[in-house]
Amino acid sequence: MSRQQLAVQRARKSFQTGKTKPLESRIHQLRNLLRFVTERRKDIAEAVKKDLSKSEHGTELFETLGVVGEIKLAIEKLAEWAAPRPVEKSLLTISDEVFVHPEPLGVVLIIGAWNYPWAVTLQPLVGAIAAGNAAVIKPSEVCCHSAKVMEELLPRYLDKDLYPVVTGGVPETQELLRQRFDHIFYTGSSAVGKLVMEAAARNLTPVTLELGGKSPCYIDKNCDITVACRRITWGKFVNCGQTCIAPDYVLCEPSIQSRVQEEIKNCIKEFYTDDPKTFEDYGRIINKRHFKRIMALMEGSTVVVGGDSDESQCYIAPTVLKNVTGESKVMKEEIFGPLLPIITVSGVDEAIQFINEREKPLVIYVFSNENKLIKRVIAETSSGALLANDCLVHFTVSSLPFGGVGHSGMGCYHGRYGFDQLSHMRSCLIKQLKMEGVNSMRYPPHTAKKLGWARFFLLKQINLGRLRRMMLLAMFVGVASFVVQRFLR
Amino acid sequence: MERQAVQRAREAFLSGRTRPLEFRLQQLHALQRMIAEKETEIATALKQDINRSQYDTPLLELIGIENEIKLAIEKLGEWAAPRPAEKNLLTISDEVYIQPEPLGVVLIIGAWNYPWGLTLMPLVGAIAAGNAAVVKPSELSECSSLLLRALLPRYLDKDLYPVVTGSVSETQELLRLRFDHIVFTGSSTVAKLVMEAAARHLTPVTLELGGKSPCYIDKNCNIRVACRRITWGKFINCGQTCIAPDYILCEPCIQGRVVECIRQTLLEFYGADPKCSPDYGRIVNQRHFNRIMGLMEGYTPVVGGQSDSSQRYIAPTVLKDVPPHSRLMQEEIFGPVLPIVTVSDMDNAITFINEREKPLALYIFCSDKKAIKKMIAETTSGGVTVNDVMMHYTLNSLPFGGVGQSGMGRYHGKHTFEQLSHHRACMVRSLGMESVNLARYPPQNRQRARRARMALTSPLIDMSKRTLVWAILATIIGLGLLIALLVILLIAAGLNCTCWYWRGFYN
Repeated sequence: MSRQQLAVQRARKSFQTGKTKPLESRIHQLRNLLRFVTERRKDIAEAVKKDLSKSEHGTELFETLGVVGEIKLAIEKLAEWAAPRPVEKSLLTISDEVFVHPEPLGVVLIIGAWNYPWAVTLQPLVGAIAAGNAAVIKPSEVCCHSAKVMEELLPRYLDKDLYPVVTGGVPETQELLRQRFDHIFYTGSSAVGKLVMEAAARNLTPVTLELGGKSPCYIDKNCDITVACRRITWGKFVNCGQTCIAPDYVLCEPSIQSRVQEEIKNCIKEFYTDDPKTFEDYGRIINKRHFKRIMALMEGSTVVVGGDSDESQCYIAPTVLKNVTGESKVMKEEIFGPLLPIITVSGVDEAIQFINEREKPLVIYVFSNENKLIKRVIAETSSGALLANDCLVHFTVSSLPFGGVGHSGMGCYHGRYGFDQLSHMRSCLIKQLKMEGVNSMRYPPHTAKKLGWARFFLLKQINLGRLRRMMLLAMFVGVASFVVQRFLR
Repeated sequence: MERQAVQRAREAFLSGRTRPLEFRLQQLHALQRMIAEKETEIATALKQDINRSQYDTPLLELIGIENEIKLAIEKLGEWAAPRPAEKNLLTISDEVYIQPEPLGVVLIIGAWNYPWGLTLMPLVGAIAAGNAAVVKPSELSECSSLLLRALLPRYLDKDLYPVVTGSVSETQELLRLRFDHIVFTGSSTVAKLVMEAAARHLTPVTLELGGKSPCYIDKNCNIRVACRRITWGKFINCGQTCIAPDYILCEPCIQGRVVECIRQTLLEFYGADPKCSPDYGRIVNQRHFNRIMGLMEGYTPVVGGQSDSSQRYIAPTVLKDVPPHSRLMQEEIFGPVLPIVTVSDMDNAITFINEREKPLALYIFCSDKKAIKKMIAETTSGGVTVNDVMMHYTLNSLPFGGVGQSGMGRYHGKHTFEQLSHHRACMVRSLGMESVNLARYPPQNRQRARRARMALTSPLIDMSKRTLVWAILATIIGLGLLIALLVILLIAAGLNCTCWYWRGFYN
């Protein structure tokens, strides 16, 4: 039996013992995970530095803070999330117990990505643990140092049977995908997303796919361009552009194009100094293959800022491109690197058209002071999310579902959505064996009269909330009239 | 032909005419009219397809659809409105909400056992959510699918909601095309092919499949009533219901009684010869008839067992002492054959159920609340109805769907709308207050990092109206009480002598 098969089998056996059902045990595991992230901060930061050249503060800000927030929220809210959820009753079920019961799915496979190796692997894990599942964690092999640290250290904190870490490359992942899971959570590219879903189809396994795409960023000419560009620059060059929700390209009118270029140039200097190569907070491309890929994308466009690179370090300077059209090489695939093309459009109409001609992105960014314009973009486009006047921060609001649509993904997570995504919401209706007379209308032999009764009972909709409010009002009026009569004569 | 229909649907969707709620409501009203006006035609088609009785048609299919449409019409405004989300300190002055949006073009593949219900209920949700929908009814219920193809374009927008009929090759052609969601009702085998086809376009799917839904009868419950309800659920539509109780689990001591009660109930419902009862259905085609007869091979039924191949008639049949590993227990019966498997007690029943694939429904007949809760806690299934069968399907506030091999995704009522919408997270910030953001920009240092940490880990604040009202009320009441307390203290202090005087201290 292969290593992968063994891990999955052990996880399933462990799950079937029922030890993840009690909320205390889930909270215990979540607290252990929290301890892991806090106690091993240094190990995590070192690993990320080796993989992506990210500074320690950067790691904390972008990776571990998010995980810590999710864990704390899950611990606080778990009892509420896992409790049976009552639903509205009908006339027919008025004396029955009707509720939705969240249940664990079983064994979940979490395939992480390399750009935020800790955040995109551990955040789904929080949801999986909270929902009472076992989880097989497969970190990306591309961020080899982080994967190694995860493999070595995570089992020291979490139950090693329930939450095994399985490392490896493509063949190992394929072997894993041949096993049977109850849910697969994949973060990565659309191309591999298709293969994951195909593999899942063989076992009828539901999937959550967090993919990517080209996230457009429209700058209205009448907004505060300085602030807009600062936020865009920050969002774009964090992690050297290797963020699924990074603004991929900018759309603006020709009249402000040079201003936008200038502002971005100034911000780059402000953030990363004149020589980003020597600056601690500026990252590197993950490996040579991606370095070459990104360098090739610059072909055919004009570099106005940056453009220099150093293959030995996988360094690409923060770069801005102009003379880019929809057909340029840089617009053919998700950049996932520190190249920011600026495309000119005649106005918001053309921008909307440009966006709609392409696949639905993970996020659309709009920079404008006009609420009407923003609402128009929302109404006439579609994307995983829409963020106006800033970049990336919607990721940090755990009350917002984070996910894509179309080629940018399916399913969502963060906060309660992670719990719901990895649970089975089982409908429960508990009736009693009495009042059998009511049921006679549904039994054969059928008559028109019985059907009439059935129609009445099934189609009558009761608004219990309104009934309750009316009863309260009636009680209040009764008490008030009693008080008036008795005391205020 | 399929390609053109999908192309037209997509173009019609992209024109944006499904966006306004008025349009969607108008289409829903039209669908409602179709059901009301064409009830007789629908009943006739169903009689030809599956020998459905005149009363079963509205009872089992049309009332359900009517219900869905009425709910959608009433609640559409509420469902489609933006939903505010909880904010944290960082986003307190921003607009944060979730906007439900249409997905695009939805493919609805119907089933033959309830050709109208299972095809039109997802359609109601698709229309309500603002999608275009290509409807592919099952070719096995031929009359119904031809009728649907004739009727739907007369009531609904014919570009947005085309009906595509055909069999396997047409369905395969459809599945090669790109959709934004596929809703499939049918068998697990075909579902795997549907999901594989969907994977090629990264299309999300809702699969409503089947399985063997177990029915546990506790020895201490009212067996007469339990058996009547089970009999009703099992033999409706001649057992061809995805949530029909597939088999019974009970202790050997009550097996005889169970058989007797079922026999009596069958007499009550369908008379001595169910073949002559207008309310008893037929098997949909020869292939399924042969399949079900094959499952019964080798068993001596205790009730029923008669059949007539020319009419595809199989009498309501009960088999007892069925071994757990028999062929009958390997596949979903989907016919009027009810096996009884004996188990030693409830724990045994739970083990039996858990050894098998997760079913679409679980039925428990028991009067002991604790035992019921135990069984629910220790098993899993798409849905559960206790002390009755199938009724969780009729309540549209309950999400209906399977888990594991019995399906994925859910629908009914608001859940169809949710399933066929995209919930887009929207956050509208302002370009002011840039100073707050300084903590996140490079160059990073410890001070900035600490500020960023504080901002990002601030707890979510519930900004909903109800909490605000409560907060204000609580503050007012609190202040009021405080003032009252102060006044009392002052008066008491001021009236100290008078108080004692009144009490007769100075007597």
